[in-house]
Amino acid sequence: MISKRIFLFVSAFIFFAATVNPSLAEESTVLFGAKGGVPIVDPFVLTNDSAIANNYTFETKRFLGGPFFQLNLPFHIGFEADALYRRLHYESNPFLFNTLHASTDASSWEFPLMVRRALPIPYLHPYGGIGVSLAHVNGKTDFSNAVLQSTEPVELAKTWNTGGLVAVGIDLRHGRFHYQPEIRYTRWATQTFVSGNGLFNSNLNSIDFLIGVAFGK
Amino acid sequence: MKFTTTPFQKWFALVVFIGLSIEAPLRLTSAQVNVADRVTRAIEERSTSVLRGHLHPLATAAADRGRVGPGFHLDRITMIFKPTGAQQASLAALLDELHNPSSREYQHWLTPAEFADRFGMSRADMDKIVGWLRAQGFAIEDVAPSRMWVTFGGNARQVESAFRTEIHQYVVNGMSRYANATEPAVPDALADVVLGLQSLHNFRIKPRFHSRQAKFTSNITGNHFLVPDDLATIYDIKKAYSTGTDGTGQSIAVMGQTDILLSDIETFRALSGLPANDPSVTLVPGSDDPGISNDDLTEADLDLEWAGAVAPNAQIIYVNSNNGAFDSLLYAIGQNLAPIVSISYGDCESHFTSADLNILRMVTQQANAQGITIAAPAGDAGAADCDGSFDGRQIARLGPSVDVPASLPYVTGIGGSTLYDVGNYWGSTNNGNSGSAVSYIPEVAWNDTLVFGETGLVAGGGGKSSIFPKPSWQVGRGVPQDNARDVPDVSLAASMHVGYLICSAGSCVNGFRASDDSLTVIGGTSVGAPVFAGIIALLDQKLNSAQGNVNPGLYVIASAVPNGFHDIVNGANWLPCQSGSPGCSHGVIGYTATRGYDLATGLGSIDVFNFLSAWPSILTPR
Repeated sequence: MISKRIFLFVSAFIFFAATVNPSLAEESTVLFGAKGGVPIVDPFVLTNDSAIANNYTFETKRFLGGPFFQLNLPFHIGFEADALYRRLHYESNPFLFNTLHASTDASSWEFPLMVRRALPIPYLHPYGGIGVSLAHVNGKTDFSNAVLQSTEPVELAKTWNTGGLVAVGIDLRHGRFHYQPEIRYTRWATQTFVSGNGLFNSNLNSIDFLIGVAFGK
Repeated sequence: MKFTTTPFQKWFALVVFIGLSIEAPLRLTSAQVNVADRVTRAIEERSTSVLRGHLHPLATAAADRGRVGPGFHLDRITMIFKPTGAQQASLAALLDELHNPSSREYQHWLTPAEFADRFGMSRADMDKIVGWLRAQGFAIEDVAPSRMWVTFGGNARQVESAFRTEIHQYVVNGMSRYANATEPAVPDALADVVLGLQSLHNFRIKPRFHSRQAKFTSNITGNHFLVPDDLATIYDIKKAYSTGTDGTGQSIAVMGQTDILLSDIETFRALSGLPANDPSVTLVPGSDDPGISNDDLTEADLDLEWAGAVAPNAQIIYVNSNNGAFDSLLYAIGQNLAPIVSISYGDCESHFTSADLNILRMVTQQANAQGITIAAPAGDAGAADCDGSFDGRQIARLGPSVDVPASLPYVTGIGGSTLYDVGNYWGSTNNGNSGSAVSYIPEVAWNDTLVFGETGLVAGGGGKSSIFPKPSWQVGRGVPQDNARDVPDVSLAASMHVGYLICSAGSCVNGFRASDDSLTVIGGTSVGAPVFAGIIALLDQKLNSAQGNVNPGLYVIASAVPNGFHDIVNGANWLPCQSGSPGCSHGVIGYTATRGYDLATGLGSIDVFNFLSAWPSILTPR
């Protein structure tokens, strides 16, 4: 519900900024491009508990990427909307014994909406941003035992998530191209993955290094 | 120092003394209710009322082989009586009070005679009913002291005539059975007082164990098996023993349906370093001697050996009946044989007639009111208990179901775990008692089908009852909000991966080994029931009192003193299921172990010393 309200608010703001006020619209620019990057923190958290054997592992070398849209408004204010995909993978021995192995692949789509404010510094055009993000996760677990069919991950507690984000970056321009390295931090509202043993959970904190390449006026 | 008293003080003391002297009898008298006569008409067969819910689900037309001969004898038929609505309400309230440490009635357990005076039939009614049964030609075998039931025997002609039914023979799973083919009826005068008739059929409930003759020796393969010393180490029982808590002065009744060989028990105890302490054997009066039934013998031996293993100085009473373990249960409760009952037999809820379930509910309520704790297995077929009744079934197709009697709120349901012994949990040599475990071994939900490729459906029973609603005491982290009695309550090691050694049918010839060097290894939730019964014997000894239904206490302890339990958080009782069958999702049916309570392992296993220490500090009268 909150996500829907935020989405409607931001949409209304864009619509207002870009169309209702002609003077602003005349000064605005629109960029389209793609962003890609790497997570700086792991998407999952493993908790140590001396009383319980840990039966989860995950891969940390992942990337994320996807298209983005940026609307630059007067007064160095801008608006950005992304659709970022990241692939998740983890493995477990549900019964601890290595006789039964589970391998899970999951897809996460994040839809950040961010208001940006650039500083009027030549060449670098540094900017900061604040916004919200909506995420959807789904996945599939395969088992080493043929008796068990592929199934939705038992650890997947929620398929939708929301979060707040802040970002800092610079906007390097070359002709009509923009190159935007950025550090982005997202704080998620809930854990989408929660293991029954409490030792394996999705990380509430995402820190990503992203580079955007955009084309526009 | 010398004290002097004034005349006023003397009079005051006298008044107090007289008051205290008469207060207790007054309380007792007020608790006793002279039950009213309810059989107010002559018992005549001219007009009868049908007793619904007595058709056994396996007594189908397809299995029907026709009517038995008129001389066919039926033993131990039991007519159970129904309390009035007011009595039922009063009993429910009393059970709450008896188990509430804040109540004046806390643990003021009733004797069967006291139960009779409050919830049973009147003596006059019992006389009329017994007289009527005798008039039908039945031999009266037992009148329960609680006046809640009467047991009798007779031939098929007498049964068919008295209860307006037919007794037929059935063949189910290759086994010959008998059962009533139609609903029985009783004279109108008894319609409002008879809850049901037990043992009109002889469909037996099944023992909940798995066994194998391990054709190897542990010092060759590195396999480990449990002896009493190991269990005492793993579940922290040795510390209790060191304080003298070993079951002394306590008794446990073990329900059976076969004769046993005492030499098996004696050999097991000697090999395990347990003191000699033979169980006493009670054949239910009126029951034929069942002789030795091989499957049942294994069950009886493991129950007797492992109840005694945990509480080595407790008296073990073996109750035996040719009419099945439930008949033994009825007798043990009716005679108040012991404050702890272990029954390792059961079947899924839908395999019981509604009459049988009502009877079990009533009888186990009486047990709790008498202070009896009952432990029963949660089943060995995961969440698909009914499928577990079919030997060799590989895929569940009948949907989720749980095991009776474990699903009764008045019984503690024992689930299963597997000892995850990958690590340094075993010593390199056995000690003098054949034990080698060195510490607690982490546990996961028991699932020999998925983890070890065991043939069939072999996992710890668990799920929600479709019969019994959520008891008020079943609360806590992880307990589902499902308005149903959930099982299991606790879990104990049940996997064949580290199975229990037993001696049975003379198997222990060379130590625990047979003449061919094999070991008799047992798994299943069947073992959990006697082990838990042994733990409760230690608790009863420590508190010097019976505990009745321990379930309310278990959930309180789990919340208040978590180290009384080992929360089992890994594994699942998933089993493969037929796509599209009830409860089947992505090819599996079952539940995962999680933090707190879960439907795979309940509250987890028990750290016995911590559990025994926590109980009196949490559940003391206030």
